[in-house]
Formats: sequence, structure tokens, C-alpha cells
Amino acid sequence: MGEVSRVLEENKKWAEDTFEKCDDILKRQVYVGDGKREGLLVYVEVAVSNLMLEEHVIGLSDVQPLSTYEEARAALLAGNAILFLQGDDTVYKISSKGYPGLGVSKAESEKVMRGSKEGFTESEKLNVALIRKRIRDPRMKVVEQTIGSRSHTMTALVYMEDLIYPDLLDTIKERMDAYEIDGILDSGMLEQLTEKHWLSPFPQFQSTERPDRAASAVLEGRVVLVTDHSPTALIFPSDYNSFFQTSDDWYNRFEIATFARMLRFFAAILAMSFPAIYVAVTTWHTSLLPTNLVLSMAAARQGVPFPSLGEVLLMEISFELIREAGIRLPGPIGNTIGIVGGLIIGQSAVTANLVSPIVVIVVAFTALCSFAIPNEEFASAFRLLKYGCIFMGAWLGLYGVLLSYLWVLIHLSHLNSFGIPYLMPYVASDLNDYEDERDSLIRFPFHMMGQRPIFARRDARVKLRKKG
Amino acid sequence: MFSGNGRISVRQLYRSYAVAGISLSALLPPLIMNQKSAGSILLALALWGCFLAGTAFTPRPEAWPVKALCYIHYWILGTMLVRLSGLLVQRFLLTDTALWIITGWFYLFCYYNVYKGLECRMRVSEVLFPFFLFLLLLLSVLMYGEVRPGKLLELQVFLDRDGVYGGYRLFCWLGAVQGLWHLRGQIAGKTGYGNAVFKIWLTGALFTLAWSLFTYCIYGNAGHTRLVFPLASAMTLAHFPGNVIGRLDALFVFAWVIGLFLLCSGLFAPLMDGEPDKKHKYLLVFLLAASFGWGCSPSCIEWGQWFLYYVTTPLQILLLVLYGFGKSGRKGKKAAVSCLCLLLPFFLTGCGAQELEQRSLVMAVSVDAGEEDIYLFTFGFGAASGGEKEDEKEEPFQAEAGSLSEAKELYWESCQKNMDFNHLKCFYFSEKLLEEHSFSGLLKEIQADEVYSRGTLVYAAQRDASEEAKKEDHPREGMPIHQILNAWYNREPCRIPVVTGAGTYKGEISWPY
Repeated sequence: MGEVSRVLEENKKWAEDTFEKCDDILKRQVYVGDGKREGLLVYVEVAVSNLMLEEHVIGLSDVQPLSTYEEARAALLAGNAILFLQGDDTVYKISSKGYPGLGVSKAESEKVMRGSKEGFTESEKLNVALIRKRIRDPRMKVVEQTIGSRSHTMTALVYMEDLIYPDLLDTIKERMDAYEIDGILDSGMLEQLTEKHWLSPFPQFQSTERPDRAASAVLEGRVVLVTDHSPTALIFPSDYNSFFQTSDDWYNRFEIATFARMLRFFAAILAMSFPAIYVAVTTWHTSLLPTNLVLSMAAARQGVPFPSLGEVLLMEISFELIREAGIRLPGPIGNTIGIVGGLIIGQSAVTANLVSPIVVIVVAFTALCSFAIPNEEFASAFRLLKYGCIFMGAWLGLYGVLLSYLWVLIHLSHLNSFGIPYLMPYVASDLNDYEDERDSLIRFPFHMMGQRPIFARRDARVKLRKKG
Repeated sequence: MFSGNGRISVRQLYRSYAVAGISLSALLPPLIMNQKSAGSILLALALWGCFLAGTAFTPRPEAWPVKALCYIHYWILGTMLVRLSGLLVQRFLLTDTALWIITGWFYLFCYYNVYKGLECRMRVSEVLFPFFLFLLLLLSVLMYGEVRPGKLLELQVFLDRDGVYGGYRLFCWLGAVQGLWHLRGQIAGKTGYGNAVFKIWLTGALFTLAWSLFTYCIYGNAGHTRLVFPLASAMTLAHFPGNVIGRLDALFVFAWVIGLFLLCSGLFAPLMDGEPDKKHKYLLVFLLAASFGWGCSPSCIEWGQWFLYYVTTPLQILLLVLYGFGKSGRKGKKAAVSCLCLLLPFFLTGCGAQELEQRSLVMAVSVDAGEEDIYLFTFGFGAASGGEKEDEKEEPFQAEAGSLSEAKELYWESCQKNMDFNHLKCFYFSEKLLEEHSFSGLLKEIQADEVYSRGTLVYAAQRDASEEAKKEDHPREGMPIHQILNAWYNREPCRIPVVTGAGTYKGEISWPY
């Protein structure tokens, strides 16, 4: 570590060498005291307020002394100004507004009917503050760490000190330190690096854009990993059940929340297998359908040149294209293309006898089911597995669909997220005395959910009790 | 960080082996159920209870020769059960697919399940248990309308020599559940294990009794033993009655396969014995491959049963008694080859799939007597509706043939489409045909092929039966075909409704005359 020199010239040389050809970083000579003491102010042009520089350089602002060049460089690149003074071996970090970014806005991907509308921003500091706003307790700890040898991305681990298993922190730090990487530009990159079962399509971190969801996870004894430049925070450990929960599940009445959860579970199964069941039933097991339905389906298929498998794949791929285009196109056009594309392509395909009308219904229903899953990454896993299921259904009928279910189930049974069985509480729920089942497919009334889930330390699981 | 992740809970053990017990109880007792078999079933349950109690009080075997003997027993049982599962799937779900393809997939997934280790296998059972139970109970409820409890009065509880033997055979099969003996060390506390064993036995016993009485209340002393095991059982529960659960048999088999899959995984799993290492995984591959090869052989069941009844089960009992008293770069290539092997079955399947427009839905079949054991078959088809080409009804097809299958082939030759009998509503037999001796041959064919019994009604036609099949509307009440089949099998008379040439009803006629 290079110590800061007392000689201003040496400090100036260091600044010029280090930030050579960095036109966005400005060096400005200043005078302090009675105008006799010379100093050098270094700052990132846009990140530091001009007003602050003119009027409140020293004395009024938040100033932190630093002793090494490395600390000075990190502070500068984080969006602060640094000040060297002649005859002083300390460099002063002058906090500023930092880099420009979006302010707090509505969460786009996890909309709720009831509850806070706030979403995370792209600043790690702001995001941590949004969690802190909800948990005003000194036991909530925030451990910051930079990752990326070039990007120096700031990350923060947010947790309740008395609720988490200490090993959990060691594990995540170990995984974060296991790789040396140029830059981390989003939490998604960090997620992929720290996942244990990297081959699995199922996410092992829960992602959220909602501060209230993150705060709720912290109170459950889980850890939230906030990454700078990313509006998505990662929550771990996570299980299958947590991907079906939404914030308003706890804000709404338990009957409504339970019904919604059941719908989502059912939707997940259908999102994966409904087209496969259609193909299996129409090509192998027509006996399962009522006679009139079989006859009308057969009539609808008259003239369609492709087998059922072909038409289902055709429509599914078309739908994926519409979806992809809808995301990439600018807002209003993107929204329009989803509706127009769906209606026009579907209708045209039926009119042109490329597909039968029932297939359009099947694909549309499957799409609805996949959108009903609250977590996008989790829904994507089902969307991907759907294709395997379709082929199995076409080759082996319902037997193939059954085998697909078994494959997914065996795979999920084997998954763990930081030591927690992925299928909790549907398996091994005795480990927490069946308490986790109260917040699973059926959400019990709030006053009956007195225990934290399995994520919390065994001796700190009580979260609700009646006074007196 | 997370305590207790490596142990098996009592609930997991219970669910895993209760599924096994329930699957077997659904598969076996209906097969042997008749007026005199109640004693056999009770004997089997008692023997089974004693055996399981023995495992609860005896430490699990540790010496490798003893373990090897147990594993051979499980391996034989597992192989037979995979073959039975394959037959069920082939018969009810994938009619035109080769058995080895079906069982091949089954083994592949069994391996995957066992390969992942004990904990994973137990979790799979834990999750599937409620679905399995729900499906089975749902189907039982669907069949409930056919139950006649009065038949229970006919049951006789006594044990003769045959009864004892029957009970012993049932016990041998139910013994498939004993694999749980090897998990004894993995359960926290001896009491937990004992409780689980008791609950497993109780569940299995209750389901065995329930299925036995349930099927007897539906069929009585009809007997279906002419069919090949395990199809007799499947036919009894899922299909043979035709109008009982009708077209839902595919769903029934779906539930059944779940149970049998878990059972087979449980039987092959002790081969891994604890946490799997590389050597054991290769051994498992070899043993499953051998099992697959043997399971493809038709003699598998015959030989397997012989071993089960006379060698391995007695040996297991002996072991339990004795033990109880005595103790208290290349990597990438490998992956590529494995992937190819996995992909191979994909190219070999899908042959039986058929698009809807290639099928003709037969709504009615009429049969008139011809000359010298030749019948005149007339097939009436359903009209497509709802599409743009509405009411494009296919013309009835007539053929002179010696059997239904021959007539189907003639149809295929004439219009390159297959007849689909899954929605068949009515059979019309001419009165003249009913009088003839050769009619039995036709009934035999109908009995052997399950597609003819899906809620199909039977009528006698006073004159020309062929005219009836050509009509668009068919009567909705009549005699289900399984009744005429039961009567034919038991040589009892039955009464068949008659339709006249004008399409009106004219009472019933007695058959056989």
C-alpha cells in the first residue's frame, strides 16, 4: 500500500500518472485556510457537484481522511472528490452525490395490488438504504465488498446478525472470492458465479426488485446480496416454495393468498406440460377425451399439413419470438406487438390451415400459465423444460409426460440452496417441526405463523407471539 | 449450518414404502379375489405383519454375504415388477410400442433416481405420495357406483390347502416392501423406525383389504383368471367392467406407474447401500442392464415367481430368523457416448403415435352371421363437428371377415385409416348370430382386446343387424358388454335387449338360448 506523501508535488505526480488519459477525471488546484495553503482536488467530472466545489469544499461537507493512494483511488472512482494538501500526509475524501443514475421508481417486474410500490434503484447505497428504512434495527448488518478487478463493483450483504447461520456468510464470501473477474455489471453475473448447481435450469437465488420483499427475507433469517448498478437484489438461501410467494401474499387475507398460491402452483405444472399433454392425448390417448371433443378436434385438424407435434412447436416458437420481440422493442411498440402479434399471427395461422384453432388455445393458455409464476427466472426454467416435455409426450404419450415429471422431480429433490433442500417444505419439513408448511401451498392465518422458516437459526425462530 | 440434512425422517420412510404397499395391494389382491380367497388374503397379511415386525426387532444385516442374498431377492422382485409395469404401460398407454423401449425408459429413470442417493429418492417419494394417493382414491370414487355391498355376504373365510398356498404367494409379493430393513440405521431412534414399520404394514393391510372387498363388490365371484398376469388385475380394476371407469383407464395406469416406479427404485436402491460411490454406481449400471435384459424375456415372470416362492423368500425368512437370534479429456468422450446412448431411445419411439385425422372413430359395430364361421361386420362412424367441414360423416363400412381384427385390416387396406374403438357405443348382434356356436369365438376376441369394452352397450337385432350400425343415433341404455362376457365365462344366462328392424325396442331375449 503506497502511503500518501506530505509533498504535494509527489501527490500531483501520482494523480497525473494514475489518471493519465482520463479526461473525465479533473485535477484542480485549490487554496485553503487563508488562501496560503495549496491543495489539489481530484474528482470525476459529472459525479461531483460543482456547487459543492465552489462553496463547501472543506469543513461543511462529509469529509473522511484516507492514508493510502489505493484508498484514494477507490474513493475517487466511487464518485467522490479527493483532496491533497501541501504538508499533509492525509488525503481527504469529500463525499458527493456520486454517479448519475435512476432514482427510486416503481418496481416493474413484481407488481402487487397491495403494498409498497417502491422498487430498487441501480445504486447499491440507495438500495441498502431502502432496506434499512424498513428495518431500523442495529442488528441488521451490512457488509460491503468490492468485486471485479477492473469494475470494482460494490456489493453489500444485508442480514440480521442474530438470525442467520454464521456459516452462510462464510460460504457466500468463499464463493465470491473463488473467482477473479474483470467486472461484475449486474447481480445476474454474480449469481451465476456463486451458484453451486450451475447446470440446473432452476435458479438457486431468489431475485427481487422490491425492497419490502428483501426486507421480509432479511427478517426470515436470509441474506440479501445487493450489487451496485443492478436494480435486482439476490436473496439466499431459497427454496421452491419461495419462488411462488409474492409480497402481497402476506398483505392479503389468507384465503385469497392461499387461492392465489394454489393457482400459481397449478400454473407452473401446466406451463411445463400442457402442450405435451395435448400432443400425448391427441396422438396416443384419444380415449381420454369426450367423443364430441375428439370429433371436433379431428374436424379442426382437417387440412393441417403438420402433425400435432409440428403445429405445437410452430406455435410455441412463434410465441417465443413475439415475446422476445416485445421485450426488445421500445415500450409502446413492445406492448402492441404482444397483442397484435398474438392475435394476427394466431388467426392467420389458423386461416392458412397451418395450425388448428385448438393449438392456438393450448399455446395461449400455456403462456398465461407461465406468466402467472411470479419469478421470471423461475418461470423461464419451466418454459425451457416444456420443450423436452413436448417431445417426450409425442414419443411416449402420457408415459413420456410422466417420465418428464419424474425427471424434474428427481432433479429438484437433489437440489440444495446453501444446504437447504430445494423442495422444502414439501420434503423434510420435519426439520423445522412442520412449521414451514404453514407458509407453503396453503398460507395459514397470520397469527398462526409464529415461527420463522428453516432459514433462520434454530434458536431464533420465534417471530410472533401474543403478549401477556 | 443446517443440522439434520443427512437423516431420513419417519415420514419419508413411511411415504416411500406405503406407496409400495398400496401399489402392490392394487395390483395383486384383485387378481386372486374370489369367493374363497378371503382367508388367503388374511393369511398373507398376517405373515407380512410378522415378517415386518421381525425386521423392526432385528438389526439390519451388515455381513456382505447376507446382504448379497437380500439384494438378489430384491433384484428378482424388482425385475419382475418392472416387466409388469412395462406390460401395463404397453397394454393401456402405448399399444404399438415395443416392451423393451418402455422398460428401457423405466430403468433409465430408476437409475437416475437411485443414482442421486438415498436422500433424493426419499424426497421424490415424499412429494409423489399425496398425488399418488389422490389419483387412486379419485378413481376408486369414480368406480363407486358399481359397488354392490350385498355381495360380501357370499364371502367364505376358510383356509384349505390351496388357500394357504395362495396366501403364501401373496405374502411373497407383498414382501417387496421389506427393503426398508436396510434403512434402519438411517432413521433417528429405534422407536421411529418401529413406528414407521407398523404404519406401513397397517396402511398396506388396510388397502389390501379395501381393494379385495372393493373388487369383489363389483364383480363378485366372476373370476378373470384367464387373462395373463398382471393384465387380469389391470383389467379388473381399470378396464374390464367397461362402464365402470371407462376411458379413464389411462389415468389409472398413470397413477399406478408412479407407485410401481417408486417401488422398483426402492428395490434396486439397497444395491447402492448408503451413500453411492463410483464403484457402486458402475455396479448398479451393470445390474440394471442385466435386469433389463432378463426383464425383456417372456419367461422372466415364470422363472422369477418360481425363485420368489421357493428360493428367495424362504431364504429371507430364514435369514431374518437366524440373524434376529444371532445378533441383536476422456471425460468428454465418455459424456458424449453417454449422451448418445441416452438419445438412442428417442429415435426408436413414437412409432405408434397417430394423428386424429388418420383415425376413424367407430361408434357402432353390428355383426350378422355369414356362412361357415364368416361374419358380416358393419362399422358406423362418428361425424366430425365444429370445424369448417362440419357433418362430413364417413360412410359405414361393411366387410365379410372371420374376426374383428381381420375386418379392421380390410378397412385399412381400403382407405388407409385406422379404426379407433375407444369411443364405441354399441354392439348389435343379429339374433341368428346369437344362436350360433361360433359366437363364442367372437366373444373371446372382444374379451381379449380391451378397446371393445369401454362403456359399450350390447343389443340383439331382430333381423338385419347391419342396418342398426348405419344409424346416426344409438340408444343410450342397454346391457354393458362386461355382463355378457361374465355370463359367457360363468356359463350363466343373461338377458339382452332387442331392437326391431324399425328401430323400436321389443323387450329382451335370454342368452344363451
